[in-house]
Formats: sequence, C-alpha cells, structure tokens
Amino acid sequence: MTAFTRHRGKAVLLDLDNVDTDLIIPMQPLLERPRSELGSWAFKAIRYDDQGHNLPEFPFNMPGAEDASIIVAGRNFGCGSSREGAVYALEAMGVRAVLAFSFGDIFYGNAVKNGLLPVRLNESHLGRVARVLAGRPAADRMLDIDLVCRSVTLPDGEVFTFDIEPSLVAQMLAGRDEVDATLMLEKEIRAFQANEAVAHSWRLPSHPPVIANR
Amino acid sequence: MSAASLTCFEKIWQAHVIISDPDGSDLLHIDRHYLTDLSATIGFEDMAARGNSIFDPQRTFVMPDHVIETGDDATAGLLVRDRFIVPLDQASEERGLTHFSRGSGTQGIVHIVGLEQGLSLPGTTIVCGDSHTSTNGAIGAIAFGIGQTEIRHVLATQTIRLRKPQLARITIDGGLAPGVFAKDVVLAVIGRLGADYGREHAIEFAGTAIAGFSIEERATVCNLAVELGARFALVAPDAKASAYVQNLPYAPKGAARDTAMVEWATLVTDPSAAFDKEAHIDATMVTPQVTWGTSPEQVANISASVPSIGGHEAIYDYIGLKPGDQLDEVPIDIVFIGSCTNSRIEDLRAAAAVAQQGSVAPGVRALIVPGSEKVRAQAEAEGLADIFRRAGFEWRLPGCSMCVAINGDVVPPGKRCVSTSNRNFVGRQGHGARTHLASPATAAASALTGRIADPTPYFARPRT
Repeated sequence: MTAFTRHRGKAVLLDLDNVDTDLIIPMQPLLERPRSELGSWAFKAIRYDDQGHNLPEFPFNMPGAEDASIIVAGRNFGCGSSREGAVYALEAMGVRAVLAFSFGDIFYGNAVKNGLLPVRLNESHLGRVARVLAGRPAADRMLDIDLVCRSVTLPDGEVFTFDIEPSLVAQMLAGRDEVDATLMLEKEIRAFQANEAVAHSWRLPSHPPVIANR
Repeated sequence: MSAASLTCFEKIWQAHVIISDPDGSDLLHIDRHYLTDLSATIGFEDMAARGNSIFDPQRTFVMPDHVIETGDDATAGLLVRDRFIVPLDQASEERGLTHFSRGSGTQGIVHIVGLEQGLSLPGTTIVCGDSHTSTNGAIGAIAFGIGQTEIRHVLATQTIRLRKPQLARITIDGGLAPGVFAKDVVLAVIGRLGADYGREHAIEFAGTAIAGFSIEERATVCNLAVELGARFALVAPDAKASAYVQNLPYAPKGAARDTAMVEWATLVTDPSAAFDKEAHIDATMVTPQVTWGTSPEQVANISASVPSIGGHEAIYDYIGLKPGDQLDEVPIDIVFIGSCTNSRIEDLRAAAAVAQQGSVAPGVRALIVPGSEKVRAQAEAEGLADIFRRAGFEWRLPGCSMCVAINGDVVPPGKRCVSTSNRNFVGRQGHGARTHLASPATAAASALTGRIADPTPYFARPRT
C-alpha cells in the first residue's frame, strides 16, 4: 500500500454529515471498472446532473478545486456499507486525506490500510478549519498534514493536532503489508487452533450428511 | 477490571485472542469466514495476485447473494453473473470450500444462511465482507463486517488484528403493541439515538423486550445496529439461542454439543460488568415506523408528518416530500419485502397475515424475495407463497435483490419504494430511487393500499 508521511494539498469543504459509502461510490462501477478508473464515479449522485454535466455546487467542481486532495467533512464520514471501493474511488480522485469529526468504523480501517489518512478533529477545531478555508478562494485552500507530528497546519499558520493509534501510524508510515507480518506468527496461530481442537472442539463446524441430489 | 465482571462480548473476545500487542490491538482467531459472491470472487483474485493460499478452508464458506438473480430471467446483470457467480462452483471446489449454490436447497443471503444452517453459533467469532455481518450477533456471537484488505488477511491467516471496541448496552423493555414489530423498535432506537451513536462501540442489546424476541427478531435488531454506527452488536446467548441451533446441519451434536452448551451458559454478561455507555428504550411506546429521508436516523411514526430539519433542502428535494406532509398519505410505486433485515420465515408470516386480507393496489409493483432456499421452501409448505401470489405479489428466488440493487432488481428513478431493507441512502436502490424503510407488515399494508400504511388495522389481537 501507499505510505503516508506528510502531505501538502488543496482542501475542499464537503459540508455534509453521514456521507455514506454508497454516496462515495455506487456499487455498479465497483463491479465493472478497474480501481484506477473509479475516480470519475466518486460522489456521482451529487457531482453530475442527469445528462452527466458537472453540478457547479459540488466542491470538486468549483473553479480551482479540481486538483484538491483533501476533503473537510462533518460527522460520520464513510458510514454504511463496508465497501473498500469507497477508499479506492477517493484515491483515484487524488484524495490523500479526509478531515472529519468522526468516521464509519469499517471505512476508517479500510482507509488506513490503503494509505488514505483519516483525520479526526474535535468539533471546535474542525469548525475553525472550515471557517478559515471558507474565507479563502477555492483555489487557495492549502493544508499541511504531517502524520509523524499528527498535525494539520492551516494557511494562516494555526496548527491542530489529531489522535490516531500509534500502531496505525506505524503501519501508514511504513506502507507495509499486514499479511506478511501476521504470517510470521503462523506457529502461534496453529498452536491456538491445536488447543482449540481439544478444549473447544465444538467451535469447528460439524458436517451435515452429504446431500445426494445436488 | 476483576475477572468476575465481564460482559458477554468481552468473554468471547478474550477467548479468541492469540496475541495481544503492547500497542493495544489483539490478534483474534476467526471461527467463521463467510464469503458473498462479491467478496469470494475479489478475495480469490487478490489471493492469486499475491500468491497467498487459504489458511483454513474448513472455516470458509461461499454464499452467493448480492448479484445473483431472483427471477427465472437470468439475462439481467449477465456480465456480473459471468464474473461473480458462474466461476464459484469450480473456484470453491479447487480451494476445498463449501459453496451454498443456487439449487442446492441451501443458497441464500449470507446473513440468513449462516444462522439457519447452524454455522453461526454462540461464542464464536464471525466475519464477512459485508457490514451487516453483525446480524449474526443474534445468536450470541462476535460478528462483524470487514473490508477487502481484511478479507485477504483472514483468508491468508484465519485471524484479524483489531483493537477491542468500547461497549454500549441498549436495554429495551416492555411488550410490543399489535402491528408493531422488531423492525419498528430498532428503527425507533436509531431515530432516538442517531446514526453515530454506536461508532467505535460494540452494542449489547438487553432488556425484557429483547429477551422476549425470537432469534429471528434479534437478527433484525442486530442487523440494524450497523445503522447506529456500531460495527458489532449482540444479544448474550440464552436458552433460546441454544434451542435455535439444536439439530441444525452444521451445529455441534452429541458430546460436542453438551460441552458447547456448558460453555455457552457462561457467556452471560456479569451483573456488575461496566459499559462505556448505556441507553434505555420503552418498547411499549413504539408505534409502526417509517423512514422519511435519506438516512435511517430520519425516521418517524407512520401516523405523523414529515418533520422539518433546517438546512437540508437537498434531502426533501431528493425524497420528493415537504415538511408537514402526512406520511400515511404518501403514494408509493414499489414494495420490496426482502433483505438480510427482514426475509426470514417469521417476516413472511407477518407479511402474509396482511396480504391475505386484500390485494396489491393497481399500479404498485410488490415483490417478495425470501431470504434463502430453505426459507422459500418452508414458506411454500406453509401456504404463504400461495397467499402472496393470490394477492398479486411477485414470489421470487433468494438474494439481496432490491436492497443493494445490483442484480437487475432496481427501483427506477423517482419511484417511491417501501422496503424492508436497512438503507435509504441516496441512490441505494437505484439512481434517483426514493426509499422508505419499514417492517414487513407495514410493507405489505402499503402494497395493498398503494400508500405508506400503518399495518395495525390488519392485526386484530395483541401478539402473544
């Protein structure tokens, strides 16, 4: 996965709560398109009109915001379905970080595992970020995000820190594959299973009678 | 924390920890990994790309549901069938996995099949690449949705690395009035507590109403906990849970069952166990519910009118309603009875109790998608399918169908659907689709009247 250390980029204000993963990416393109092509499908329902033209009020469609790489949202960003495609679609759009008061639990984990940084800010800090950015032209809303320092720096120099589990920080900085790390513990996993086969054998699925006519 | 004061959730969690990292995350062993048609196909592709092999095929099950067709006409969604359905038989066999295929008598929605086949058991850890995996918490299991990267991790290692969530308890007390069902209760809970309440928490549902619920009703409640923001939800296993799994195909038998039941009896939440937050709901006050907006938390009594919430004109535009509109006068186009929330035999019985008292209103399309081939066969044996067909409902084959609308069953743009599913998000049931979530009884009543309808008049006596 892509590592994340620090990122300086343009932010857009997505002043919505409960942005669900269906809104971030509809299912249909997830089934039919490769990951790299998902960017143009992100936020489809609020990004394009029925003829496919850009809706002017969608933040990424505002002049100067097309190359934005940071979203500033509200509460519960990424709630709903577990589809990891929501992260892929944001990535494919060029988004590297999302600032919000809160995130859907599964989305949060999916984002971290793909190098998309979810930044949790408290209500007053998030409000301050939104206000400072709103006072600037869309093309001029730069933020500096530093994962090592866990900080967000505003254009006026104000700095806010955010919380994120140290193990997740380490994972994102290294960009390492978790499966390889866990397979180094194969002995311990097999030992757990061996003990379970004796002490809790009921946990293994029993087998139903074979059905003759399939 | 003393050893004598643990919640059910903590007891199950602790019993599955292989290693605890000093940073606070645990490596958990996974008892059951369910793969939908989507997650199986993509999971196998990911594994092949990385050269991983499946760590534990005997705990891995393939259950096609999301894109599988629900009608005899298989031409809808043909391309997705070729990629996600057709290869599953061979792919499962090559990997030594059990495949609950169409026509085997066992195919169905993943969160229906796991419980009814006795795969989901009290005290187990269960994962699936679908957020509504929490449904299995009804049997007293730790069951949760995972993303694609986590799917590969579970396939390759039979474990997941996770920080234990905080704990919330929602206590629901009291009996339900006639016409009111588990779906109404949990919708009311979401309306009261909000879509963000359970974030970073596991929710335990308790109280006399929950104790009085069947396993199927508990499944409906645990299913919708996701829309409260909770990744995990469960009901501590009791005598009903043990009774439910007796003699199910994959459940333990004989001596193994005896050992299991002794262990399950210990999985109560200790009286002095502490929760990080608690809420109390009076079920006697709940009346039939319907969502009016584009989030499950935007829910109201059917007898009420659309409320006014400031600064959200886009929601009213999308749903085509105005503050003050009477909900039980809103005309509808489609009724969908199905989904992992409400497509089990008890749901179909409730819908049939209404359907047998009328017929589908002119201009309304009403479809019923039973949750599994097993449910479908039972419904036919009980005469429910005949009731539905006589009343003008379509009686279809099992699958997720119009809940996620990626198999060809779609709500057309601008059309209004009363649905027994779990999400009324923008575009969920189709581009421009207008979704109103409700109970199976409400959905059936709405089909008969052609508008959002309170089902209470169809139920003469209180439920026992």
